[in-house]
Amino acid sequence: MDFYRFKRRHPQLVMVLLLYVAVPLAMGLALGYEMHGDAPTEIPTVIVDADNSEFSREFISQVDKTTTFNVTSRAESAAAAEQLIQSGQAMAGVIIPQDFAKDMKNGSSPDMLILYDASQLVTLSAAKPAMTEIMMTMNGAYLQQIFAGKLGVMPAELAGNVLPVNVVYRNLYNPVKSFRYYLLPGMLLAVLQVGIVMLGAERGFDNKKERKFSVHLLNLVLWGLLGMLGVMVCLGVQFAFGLPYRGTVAGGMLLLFAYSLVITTMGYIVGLLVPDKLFAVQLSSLLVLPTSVLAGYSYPLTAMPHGFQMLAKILPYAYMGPDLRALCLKPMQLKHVLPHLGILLLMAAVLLALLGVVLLLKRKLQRPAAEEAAA
Amino acid sequence: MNMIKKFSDLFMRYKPYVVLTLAPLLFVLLFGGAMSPVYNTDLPVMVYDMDASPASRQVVEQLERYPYLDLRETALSLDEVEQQFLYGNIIGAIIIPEGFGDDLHAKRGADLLVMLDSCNFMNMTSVMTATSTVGGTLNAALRLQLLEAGGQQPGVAMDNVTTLSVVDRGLYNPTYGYIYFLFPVLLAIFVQQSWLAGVSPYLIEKKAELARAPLSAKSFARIAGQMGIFLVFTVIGLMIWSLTLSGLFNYPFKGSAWLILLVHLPFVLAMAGMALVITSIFDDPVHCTQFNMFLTIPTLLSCGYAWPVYLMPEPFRAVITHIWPLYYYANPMRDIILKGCGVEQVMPYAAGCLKFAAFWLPAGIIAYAWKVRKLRRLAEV
Repeated sequence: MDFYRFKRRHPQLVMVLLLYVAVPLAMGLALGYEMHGDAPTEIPTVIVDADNSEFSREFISQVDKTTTFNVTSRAESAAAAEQLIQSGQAMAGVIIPQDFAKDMKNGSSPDMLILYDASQLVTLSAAKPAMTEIMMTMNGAYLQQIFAGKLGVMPAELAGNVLPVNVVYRNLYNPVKSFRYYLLPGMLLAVLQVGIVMLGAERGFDNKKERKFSVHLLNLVLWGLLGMLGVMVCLGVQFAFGLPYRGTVAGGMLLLFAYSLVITTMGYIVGLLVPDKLFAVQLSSLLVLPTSVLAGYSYPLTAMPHGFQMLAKILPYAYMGPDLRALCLKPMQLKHVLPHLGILLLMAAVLLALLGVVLLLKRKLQRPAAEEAAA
Repeated sequence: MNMIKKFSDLFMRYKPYVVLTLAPLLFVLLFGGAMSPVYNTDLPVMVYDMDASPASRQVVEQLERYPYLDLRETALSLDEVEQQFLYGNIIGAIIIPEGFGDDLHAKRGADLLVMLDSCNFMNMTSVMTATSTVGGTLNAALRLQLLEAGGQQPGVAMDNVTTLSVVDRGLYNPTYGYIYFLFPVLLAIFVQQSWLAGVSPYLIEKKAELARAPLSAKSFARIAGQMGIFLVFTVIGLMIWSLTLSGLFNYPFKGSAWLILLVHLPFVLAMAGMALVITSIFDDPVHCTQFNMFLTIPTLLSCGYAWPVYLMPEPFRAVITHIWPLYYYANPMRDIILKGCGVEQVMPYAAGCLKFAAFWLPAGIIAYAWKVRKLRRLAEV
């Protein structure tokens, strides 16, 4: 029997395998492989060194020495450097004006210009802090000369004079600043939730005639469990690419199940209510598609207008997406996921109650129609 | 009840056009509204002042004055700070260690520890920028005092403190706004997904009809004509979304609309090929829609927009440019919309997309025709 006939005989099984196993596996492998570099390195950088002094050469060598930048081209002017950035041949630029070192020694504070291609946020997020660090090192070296040369400060006291307050940064949970760790857990969940809600809608539509609440509930629990397993398969692939999982396993599974149940139920109710199956599936997916953005997974909630912050409070993804990433990266215990687990369970309870009301209303509406038909 | 049915029938009849033009508008409004504030403010940060000296209190006051930080109450222990991080209540913590004030007075260099939750890059960068600004201001003021105390004139001391001056310029997105960065690829995704959502059910329906009715050139021509109408609606949709973005959220469109059209048309042709391939596999529009919806995020993440192409492994780069056309659309959209690039930069993408379409459109037609034949044979059996 060929695959086509098998697909025609068991369309649902094929779709479940496709949406919960094949696609998550393929997607997990592809995206994990794509981003396994983790953080942007060797950012193509253009240099304009109109000064050509010892200082400027030292500065450029500092830039080139870091793994973040790769000096790939030199230009004659800032405009030419901008041209290279516009054409995509460079993503950062350092413009050192003529007589920069001389003016600096004279104390006339000349400006060095750093250009970033801010249409590329990933490279920007790596380039800016790296350049700031280089600037601080160079500035510190220059100030040491001032304090030692002009004020006669002793070497032991130099550090304290140059940098009275030494701000030390500690990046917790994602010290390598991996873009993959930041993005993938929640994005993979965002993909899977679309599958979960659509299969929920399909189930709801197919079970329209079912009257018993217990049968609906059993369906929801079963499909909720399947959804949870789909997410686990997808994430499991990422662990093969080195994504850590530092949080509670039991807590993570509970949270995932509650989440999957909520999403399945949302789709299920839409499937029960909407008269056209295709439209029900499309509508249900629209309910969850924007939530990865609106729930503050990548763009922080604190930056959104108040109304959107309030909206996020009723989005299930807000209690799962960021938590899934946190479970991977932070040593979270069960107590840390309990508040969000409680909210998701509450959402599930509300949706199940709504499902009960929908079933009751449908029964009431169908009764007179049936009586009319019998009469 | 009759009215609802009438409205419902009318809606179902025109649904593909609504999907192609108005459904993504909802996303434009939602995403545009959510991301319209460009700056990340009210960053929840905790302070643990272990020193409690006048100098450390001065640091806390400086931090409190910084407009983007939402300073939470002072922590009583490091464990409390850690718990707040784990509960997700804070995204940064500033630890002023014991002896901070003494070290400062003794000119030994006083350490100030900033702990960042780097799970979310955008939060991490915002807190880092805020604390480094406060730290820079503090240091500049203290250096100034030291230089003046060492006998330098205030003007000279000021020159020495600010001597290495750097001006940062974020080209094409000067405020580093996420909204500006994201929308070119979102527009591309809206075109892709609305095309698949609007066209696929139609192609599946026609496939079933072709399998039942006698084949004629007319019926194929009718499908091609309808696809042309859908194409026109994608242009109308793109115009509506762009005008909304620009009018409502002041989104700047730097490049020419004609250039957008130059990459839009080959992309839709390529997507027509992909739609034909997909609909030759699926017979049920529901299953086809489920599969199509799955494509949104993976294609977005692998098109070279969020994760630049130069960072991808070479084999992956080769594969994505040959099996899905979004690379040829999303990247030039950024170049046109944000960078205001000209035709010479956009042309290679348009040409690449045409080459892509030159392979996949005939491949799609062959696959679709093959499936029609197969369905006809099955019906005969």
